[in-house]
Amino acid sequence: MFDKLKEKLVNATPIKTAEAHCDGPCGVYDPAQARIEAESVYMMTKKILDLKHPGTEDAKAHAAYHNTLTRFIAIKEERAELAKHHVIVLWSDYFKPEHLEKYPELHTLFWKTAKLCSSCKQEVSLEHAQELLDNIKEIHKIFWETKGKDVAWYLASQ
Amino acid sequence: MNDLRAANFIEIILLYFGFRSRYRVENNSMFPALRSGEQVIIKKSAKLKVGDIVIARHPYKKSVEIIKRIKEIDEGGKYFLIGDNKDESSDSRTFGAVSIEYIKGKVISRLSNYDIGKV
Repeated sequence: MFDKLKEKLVNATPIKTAEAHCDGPCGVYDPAQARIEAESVYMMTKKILDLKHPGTEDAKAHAAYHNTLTRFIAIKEERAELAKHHVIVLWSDYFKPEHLEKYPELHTLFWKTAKLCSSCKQEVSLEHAQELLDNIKEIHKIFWETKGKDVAWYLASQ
Repeated sequence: MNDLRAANFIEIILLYFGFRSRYRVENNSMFPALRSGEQVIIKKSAKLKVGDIVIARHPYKKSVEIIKRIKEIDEGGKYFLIGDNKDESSDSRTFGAVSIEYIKGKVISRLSNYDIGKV
C-alpha cells in the first residue's frame, strides 16, 4: 500500500536523462568525418565564387541563379557547422591530457580549427577553406600518431 | 566516497511537489556507484563538497546533462568532475573544471525499483 503510494507519487513527476558518458562508450573516432565536411565547405565555396550572375532581366534566369546560390550557401553553412562539431568532439572526447604533453600545440590547433569553421560560414573565402583542410590534415596526423598507426591523408574530392 | 542511500518518503513528497528533480542515469561512467538505468533524486541548491555526485550541464554540448563526482574544488571555486568508471567517462579530464553555473544539483538519493514500480 505504502509502496504503491510512493510509486504513484514518483511516476507522476517528470524525469530527465543524465549521461554517465557523453557519446556512449564505443570509443570510435576518426578525423575523416571532419575532413569530408571540410572538403564540402571548400567545394561549395569554390562553386559560389564560380557561379555566374545571369546578367539579364529574365525573371526565370534570376530565380534559377538565386536558387542555386542559396543552395550552395545553405550547404556550405551546414557542412561548416558539421565540421566544427566533429572537430570539437575529437578535441573534447578523444584527446586526453597525456596527448597534450606530447603535442603542446593541440589546444591552439583545435581552437583555430573551430574558429576557421566559423570563418568559412561567415565568409566566401577559399583561403580559409583551404586553411581549414590544412588544419584538419594536421589533426589527422596527430590523431593517428597517438594511435600508433600510419594512415595516409587523402581527399575524396581529388 | 559516499554511497548513495535510498530515497526516503519525505524526499519523494518533495519530488512530487517539485522541490526535487528526478533523473535516469544512462551508461556506466558512474559504475559501481550507479548503474545504467538507475534513477536518482537531486537537490538544486545543496552545499557541495568533494566526493558528492552531481548533475551538470556539459560545457560543450548545451543539451546534454551529465552525472559525475566532484574530485576537487579549486581555489577559484571551479569543480573538477570525474566519472567513477574512468575508462568509460568523458569528464573534466577532457573538458576541464566547470563553474557553479554548470552544476544543476547534487544527487542526494537513489530511487529503488519499489519506488518506481519495476518490481
